Amino acid sequence: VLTLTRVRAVHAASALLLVVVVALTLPDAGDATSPLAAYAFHEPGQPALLLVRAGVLLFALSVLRESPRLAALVAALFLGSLASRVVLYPFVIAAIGAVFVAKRPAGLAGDVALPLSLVLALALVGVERWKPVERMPDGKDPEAMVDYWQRKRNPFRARAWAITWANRERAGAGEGMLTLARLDWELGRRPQARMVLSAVIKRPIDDAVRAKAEAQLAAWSDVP
Amino acid sequence: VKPAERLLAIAGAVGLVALIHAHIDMLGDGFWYVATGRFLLETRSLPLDEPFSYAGVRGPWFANVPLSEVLFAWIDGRLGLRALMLFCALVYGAGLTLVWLEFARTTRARLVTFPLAAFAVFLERADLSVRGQTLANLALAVLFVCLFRLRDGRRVPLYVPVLLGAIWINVHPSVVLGLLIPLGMAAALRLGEPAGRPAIAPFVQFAGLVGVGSLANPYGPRLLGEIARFMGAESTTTIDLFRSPDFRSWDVLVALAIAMGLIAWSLRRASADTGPRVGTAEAALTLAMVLATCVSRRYVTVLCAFEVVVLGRLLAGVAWSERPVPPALAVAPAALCLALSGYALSRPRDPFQHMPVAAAAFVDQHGLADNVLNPLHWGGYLDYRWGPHRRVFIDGRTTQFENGVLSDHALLQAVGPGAREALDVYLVNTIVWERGSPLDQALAGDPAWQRVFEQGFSVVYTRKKPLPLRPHAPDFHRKMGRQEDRGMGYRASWDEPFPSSPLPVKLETTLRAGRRRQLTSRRRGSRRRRGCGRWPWPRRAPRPRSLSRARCRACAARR
Repeated sequence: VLTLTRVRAVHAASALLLVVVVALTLPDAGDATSPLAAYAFHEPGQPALLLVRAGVLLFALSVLRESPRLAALVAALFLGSLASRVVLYPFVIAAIGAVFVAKRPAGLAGDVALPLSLVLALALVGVERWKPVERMPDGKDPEAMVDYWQRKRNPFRARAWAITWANRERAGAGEGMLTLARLDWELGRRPQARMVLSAVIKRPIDDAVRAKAEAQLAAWSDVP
Repeated sequence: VKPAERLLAIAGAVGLVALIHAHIDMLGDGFWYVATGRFLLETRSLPLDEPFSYAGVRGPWFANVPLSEVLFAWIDGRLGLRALMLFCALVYGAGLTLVWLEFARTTRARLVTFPLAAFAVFLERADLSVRGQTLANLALAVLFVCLFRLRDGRRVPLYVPVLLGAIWINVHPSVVLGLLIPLGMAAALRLGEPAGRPAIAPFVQFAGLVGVGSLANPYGPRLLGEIARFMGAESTTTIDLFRSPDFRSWDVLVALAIAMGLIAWSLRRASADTGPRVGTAEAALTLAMVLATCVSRRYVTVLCAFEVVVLGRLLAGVAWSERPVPPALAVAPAALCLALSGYALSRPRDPFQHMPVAAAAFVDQHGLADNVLNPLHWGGYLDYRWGPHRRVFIDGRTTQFENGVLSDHALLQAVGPGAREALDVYLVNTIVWERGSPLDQALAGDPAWQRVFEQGFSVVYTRKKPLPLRPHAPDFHRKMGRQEDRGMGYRASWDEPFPSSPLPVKLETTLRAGRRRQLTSRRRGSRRRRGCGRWPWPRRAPRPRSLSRARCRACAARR
């Protein structure tokens, strides 16, 4: 069916079987840092290497369309490079070597695949490097942590940091206590929110904070 | 068509459906689809806020697969979850059958490609569940059929891509494939041999019309943006299904090896004049599918389906496949396939087999205090059971939990440092968790918690001194108030205590009540035998006596 001779089919099948057997028996399958580990796209640098693999494979298969045995070897090494990262180097070397050995048919569309994939790989690396990542504050400043979790829309975590903030304010109650009251209210802990505001009003604090607390308490007075 | 060939086609179609049905499960996703669908049907509006979770991101939430959700809820409401599983198996099986029969035209080609179609199901066996993807697979099959019509220089009516896009976007976010694959095929054709190359414009036009059709959704163009966000979301890329497959598993390697063979064969066939056109374009597309598989395990099934397409077209150009087949060679595998299908379809499937049904019933029965902590894979079931009346910690709608809840869930699963503090942070009073898990072992020796229930694979803990907490956040109550006013059956006030009834609180609509009255007489016989189909107990599982009585009272009250 595959228009290969029987001998070529046996060679191709043997090469594939060899790669599968080697891949299945390799150790350290779960260790991502090992060179013997299987390919994983979501690890740093791996998307670019996948594009390199694809470009080299398409290029080699386009050139080797008249040499099925070499094509089978390259394809088997491609699969091997997915099963074990260290096989990437033999794969690239074998593909380039096979391209030089084989007779090149005229009018190759795959000639553009290799440079194209390399350009795309570099672009992807660039995009990955410049992707903005929001970092969590280090936890020394509870106010920053409350802001961070409020931006992430997690009132539970924000409330936990608001407690730390409020505890640091101690007797001089301020914005930390008011924030804690607001978050308690948001989480449905209405009596607790009112208790916090009452405590703020009773303490010897800045008039502006007291006024804010009283205004907030008055606004909540209509809600059961 | 000869009778033997017809029998082979029918047996193959039935076999694919039976194979899918044997592996399909509800899992968590199926349950939250139904729960969301119920919500949409009963409120007759899109959710204004996060409906099921107390810890998820508040604010507008996209029900991004509305048609699947509503359809699933409708089927569940009328026919039950087993019928829903069968429906999804039928639709997915129809998609695979379409690809198989459309591209493998001769009996020999069908005999060769059928194992590959079945292998696609086998590859997906661990992830196969009732979700929009099963419906999207049919859309993908239609897409392949349309694109290869264009490849062969034939026409596709303009309404087909528009309709395809309109349906696809409402059943699954994979509508993006409906835009990318035609454009990819156009690019691949441009890259390939000029001889026999079809016009590129129809492919671009097809993609554009799918895009136009995809605007027909409840959110309009905003849903496309949401899908783009979903695809790149950190929570999506951390799900096992969207990560690279295990390249050392034999089945993945076999699928990739077949792809390599097809790429090589397509490139060799590029200059051939007989049969349908296959060349560099097909090789490039197959390679693109291989790359997609390397990125995400989910695409290995798409790769396998595409292999059926390419192999079918390649075989059509081989003289061997055109030769007639002795009837026995077609009838024998067809009979075997039908026999195995009959066996597979007759096996009872329990949609609740992996779900903490008894634990959730216990929480209901005793009115245990909120907030309830649950593992991610049970969240969908708890959404289904409790609806918006009792909210869960986390479920399978992972983009809703990028606010740190996913990482906290992982922390609680592993009982890492800070896990016990996390229970206080989320004001958890009740825990429904896996029995024997690290968290179960940690809580067993914790004086602040007591184990109140233990059965099968689930366990329930409550805090000895509960933290004060109202059931739900006030902003949610306020927004839901509009729906309460419209008499959609929600409780008048969210300040009321939770019902301590052992029955799940059902949200009734006038429409459903009327429909139920119609069905009561029809189903009465089967209800007597099997009990109320609405009560999610496995048919043969042991049940507490008191709960059985309560269920029967409820059935009587409903009637």
